[in-house]
Amino acid sequence: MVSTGVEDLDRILEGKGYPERSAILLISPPGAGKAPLAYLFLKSGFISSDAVMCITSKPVDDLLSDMGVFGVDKQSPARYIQCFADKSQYNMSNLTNLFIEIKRQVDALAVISKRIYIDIISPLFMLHSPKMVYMFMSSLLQYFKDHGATVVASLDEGVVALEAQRSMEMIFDGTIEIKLCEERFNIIPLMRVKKMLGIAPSFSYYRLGVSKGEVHFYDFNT
Amino acid sequence: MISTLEILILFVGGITLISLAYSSFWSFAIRKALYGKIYRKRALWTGSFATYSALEIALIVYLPNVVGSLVVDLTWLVVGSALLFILTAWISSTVKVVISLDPFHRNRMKWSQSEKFVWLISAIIVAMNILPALIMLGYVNYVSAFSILDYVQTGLFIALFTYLILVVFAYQSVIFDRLLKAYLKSFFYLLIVLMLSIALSPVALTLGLFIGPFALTDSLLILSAFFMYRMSKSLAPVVAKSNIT
Repeated sequence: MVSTGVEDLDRILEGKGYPERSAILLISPPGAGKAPLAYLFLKSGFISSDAVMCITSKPVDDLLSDMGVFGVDKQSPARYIQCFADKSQYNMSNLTNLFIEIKRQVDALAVISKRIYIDIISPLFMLHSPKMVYMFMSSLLQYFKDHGATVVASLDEGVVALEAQRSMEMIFDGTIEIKLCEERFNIIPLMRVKKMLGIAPSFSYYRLGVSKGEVHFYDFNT
Repeated sequence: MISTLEILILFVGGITLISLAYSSFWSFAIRKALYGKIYRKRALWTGSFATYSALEIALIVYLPNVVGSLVVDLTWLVVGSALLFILTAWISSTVKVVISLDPFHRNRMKWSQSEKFVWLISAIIVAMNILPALIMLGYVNYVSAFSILDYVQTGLFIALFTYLILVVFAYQSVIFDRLLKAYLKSFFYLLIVLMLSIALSPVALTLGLFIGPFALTDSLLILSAFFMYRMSKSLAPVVAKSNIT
């Protein structure tokens, strides 16, 4: 098993973390807490000397600055692939070429155990049809898993159509969902493990707390 | 004896006030729940503008007698000047969210460069707004060009708003995200309403279109309250607790 990097989440996942060579999808509204979970997953990878790779549409400097809040050193040996929509070798408009380029980078990773963070699904849906994204992501995830990688990917809720979101959930081994919930005069972020390979489905929600570079989950009674 | 018109004004003002107060509460509540810095900032400025508008409505509709004393008028002038700063900060935070969610990371209307210029124009308008206050206090001698200054200020206001509307429109036309699109659409309409209220202000005065304490221009705020409500609701998708059990 691969630690999620969040002690509370490891505990929720029956003390195991994510299954090895699996692909986990994090879904939440933009800015609601997917990124901290992904950063801590990568940080845990640095600690356990795994090969770490980020595939993102964000400028790498911004990503490093965000990750710094969670104690990820800028000098940590990670491979960053910044994808663009209209230029560079990592062009999101050309999925065939993008697949080849990413494969090349994965092949170059010497370490067997790999952790990969994918943050380009929402932009892909903006550029391509759901069918194209489905085919691309299915092939990519399969390739990653075949090469010893545990993958965490993020998807913005409300940005893509619900059908597109559901199609993505189908090709991932696990789905962690963060929702903003209205309770009395408060809006609170809640997390639930919607599905996870090897773990019985649960309908329990946990209250998400992000502070001082740490993520905690608290029991929440619905 | 309260006239029917006054009752109507109080009623409409009440609805506007409640709507703005709710938008403000909702925006700040979402800000508290979010983690992402740029999204929190956008929620903060959305809430700030709603709060500002609610205070303005409360003062105009429910506390009209307070307006009139020198100290209150001066305070009102300074507070009123904050409008442009809040608006600029709000647009800036919104544009940053849009750029972040745009797969092309497009810098429409060269916002990263022109933002500084917009801040400068805002500062000039605020200074021009505060000048009359200083005149009233006797710190600055009365200048005959006072009315010209007023026209220049209105002109600058309109120019600035036109540019801000264009910025929002430029982003709104290219964004894919349906939630953000809804937010920007309401923002676009809100800016038009605000600009209309500023542009119509001298016209309303000239034509004597004031109806009691509720001016023609201020009535446009009712419309802006509706757009504020829609914007606060488009900040993030929120589910009711009953829907997750």
